[in-house]
Amino acid sequence: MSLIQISEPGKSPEPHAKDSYALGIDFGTSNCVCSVRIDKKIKIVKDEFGKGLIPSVLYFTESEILIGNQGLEKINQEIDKCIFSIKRMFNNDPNKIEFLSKINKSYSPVELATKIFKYLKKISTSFTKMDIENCVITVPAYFDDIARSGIRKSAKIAGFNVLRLINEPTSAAYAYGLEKNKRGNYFVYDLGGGTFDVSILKLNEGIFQVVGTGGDSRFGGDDIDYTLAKYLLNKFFNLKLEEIVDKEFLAFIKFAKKIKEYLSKEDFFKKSVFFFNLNKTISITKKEFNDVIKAQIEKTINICKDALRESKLSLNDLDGFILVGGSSRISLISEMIKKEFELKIFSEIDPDFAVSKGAALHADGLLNGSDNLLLDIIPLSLGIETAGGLMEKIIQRNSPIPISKEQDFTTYEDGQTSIKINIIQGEREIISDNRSLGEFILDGISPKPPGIPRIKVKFTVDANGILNVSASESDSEKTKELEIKPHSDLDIDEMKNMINESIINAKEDIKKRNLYEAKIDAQRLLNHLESLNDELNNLCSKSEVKEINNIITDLKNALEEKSVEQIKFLIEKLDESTQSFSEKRIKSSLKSGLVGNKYDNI
Amino acid sequence: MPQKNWKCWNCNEDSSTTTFFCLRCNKVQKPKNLNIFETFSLFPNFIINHEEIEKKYFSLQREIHPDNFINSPENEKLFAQMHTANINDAYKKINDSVSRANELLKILGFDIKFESSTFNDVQTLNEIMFLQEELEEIQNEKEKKILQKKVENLVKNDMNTLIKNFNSKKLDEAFKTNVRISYLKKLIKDIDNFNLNRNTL
Repeated sequence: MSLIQISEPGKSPEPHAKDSYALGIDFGTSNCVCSVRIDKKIKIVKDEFGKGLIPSVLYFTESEILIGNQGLEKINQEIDKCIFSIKRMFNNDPNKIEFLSKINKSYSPVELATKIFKYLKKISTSFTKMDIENCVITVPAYFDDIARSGIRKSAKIAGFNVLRLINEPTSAAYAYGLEKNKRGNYFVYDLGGGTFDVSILKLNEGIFQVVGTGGDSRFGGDDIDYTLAKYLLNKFFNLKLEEIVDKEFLAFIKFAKKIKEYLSKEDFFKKSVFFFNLNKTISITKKEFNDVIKAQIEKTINICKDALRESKLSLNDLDGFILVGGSSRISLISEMIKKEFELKIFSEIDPDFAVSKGAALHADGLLNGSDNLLLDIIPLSLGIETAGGLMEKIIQRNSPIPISKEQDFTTYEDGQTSIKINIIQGEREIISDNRSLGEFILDGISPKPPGIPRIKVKFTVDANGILNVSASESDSEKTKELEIKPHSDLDIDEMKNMINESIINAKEDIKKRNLYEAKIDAQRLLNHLESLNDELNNLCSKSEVKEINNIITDLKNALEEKSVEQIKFLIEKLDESTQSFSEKRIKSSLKSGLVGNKYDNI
Repeated sequence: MPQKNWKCWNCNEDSSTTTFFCLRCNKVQKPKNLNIFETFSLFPNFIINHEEIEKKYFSLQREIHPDNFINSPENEKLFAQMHTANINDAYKKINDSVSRANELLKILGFDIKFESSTFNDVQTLNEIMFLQEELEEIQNEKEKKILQKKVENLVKNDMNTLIKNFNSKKLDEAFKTNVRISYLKKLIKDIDNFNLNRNTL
């Protein structure tokens, strides 16, 4: 559904000028901000209501979807038909289509984000009178690879040319470095609606270098609203969260948010309100409010301390704290920073706009050249799963990007032609505590005795903080590139089609994905059995072998026919019929499994 | 080490004397395998000047960081990314004394891989074990600080030995000293983390 642009005569958008402009987009949990550098000045894009702060809200009416300030008036009455905080959903699988009972429709986070990006593009076009496609998008520093890729994908589908993803605190520091000429070493404390980030930056003449990061991608100002709402609910209405319906609570949280904002400036709040069929006078002092949220703010202070320790700088090296993000206005934050670090606090640039402004400056520099360079780092370690569900780190957090690391792998079994590698991102030892970025299957390895093939896997993190994996097998004579199949990922074109079709075909999409996954499972099983063919003949009776081979043939045929049920059924059947074979193999003390074994540990 | 014949992928000009750009057509060249000292145009030496290297690091980044090539063709973008990744890697290695010493040993022709697999200096291993036990018996901050200071002093002494080893070209000795330093440095990290675990409990 593309809009046809009709311009007044003589006011038509210039056809080529747009290519030398780029938007800086702060895609926030609560609000989005777009800005652009025009004539050496940064302009915040205003929507049709003249507002620069665009709520990240989708309001589903019977006939259309209203975004941002469009649905704002109706939101209060029909808050249950609104989708909020979709950025938080990127902590889960951004491509997974889920049924949203509120609106009785199914969407993936990427699909919802695409709608917002399309809207941002629309308001930017009418504001600047140019159809600007280039952009730099900011992401929380603590966003992992999947979340980053998801955001980039959404913007691409919406028609943006994404020049770079940059970390939100880095972007804010860039704005301070250029607009306010800050030099020295600074903490950037960024408390947004849904995420908390802290970065430490060295701002030198022309070089802005990130030296440390920390954060929590699941904690933000929304959580403070929630805590306050729960407290007020209990104190004034004697109610528990479970006792009220979603719709009422959402409205009450909005009220709590107002109190939070009010108490960021004033010392005392008092108002008569009508909630849950009750008239009440709510009063709360700033001190009481501070006590309620103290534990949460303390957590962010501790994350700052950890980041400082890891950066190898000492407190004496630091020149101040830069506050970013709407919720950084809470006065307790400044108080606690002053107490713990005894550092100056800077918030001259409106904390709601600093991130977007930095992105616009960076975008302009990328397109038109700049004397300033941003050196960023990867905030979360990358590694692979090793035996026993442990994580072996390959790229350490806080390494400057881009970065490449190679790791050697070998095979476990005779004639093995594929290896499965599970890539993990996060800081915990046990892999289930971290996020799996996906299982990659390396295919096409030359069949050789176990331990002989040398497979080099190269992990590269680009300047966007996004991982690319390549692999090669080196022989004494030649090097061969190996094919890498992501376990379940769809490319951009596939996604575009999916988005267009998904409203009607949500079910169909799920089917497609199930089929895709079933096929991979089947292929893996078939490969596995094929590699064990000799053993199978040695260990099993002729009738057993015959039965297994029959199922294998059936399964191969089923793969052609594309029936998920049939494939799944045959996988199960094959599993059953190879049970006794597996037992015999274990008995003959052979190790099983397709999982690649690490070659050495240099 | 003789370099193989390098030619610009675009204009076929000889590019063996240039690192980033073709001297004729100015296109980004495919990275060569430079060692960490070559990356920073330094003569291989264990003693380095960190400030000088940081300056060089920034100036290299200015030249070849991928941000400069946002409008370039894909292959130049990729080469720029590879160059920057190499520079970042070399910067980390050259600033860390253990990996710097190892790289230097390799350049001087010492077989690190083989020697690592057969490292068996009982005296060193014993000493590390004793220190490890001391760490486990730490009761308070003060004891932790004392142990930390002790290990740091050991590292300091070993660093002086290592410099002497390199000066007198005793590579065997240099290797052994460096392994010892790497163990001690790991121990210092463990002492740090020991503290961290207690705080969060």
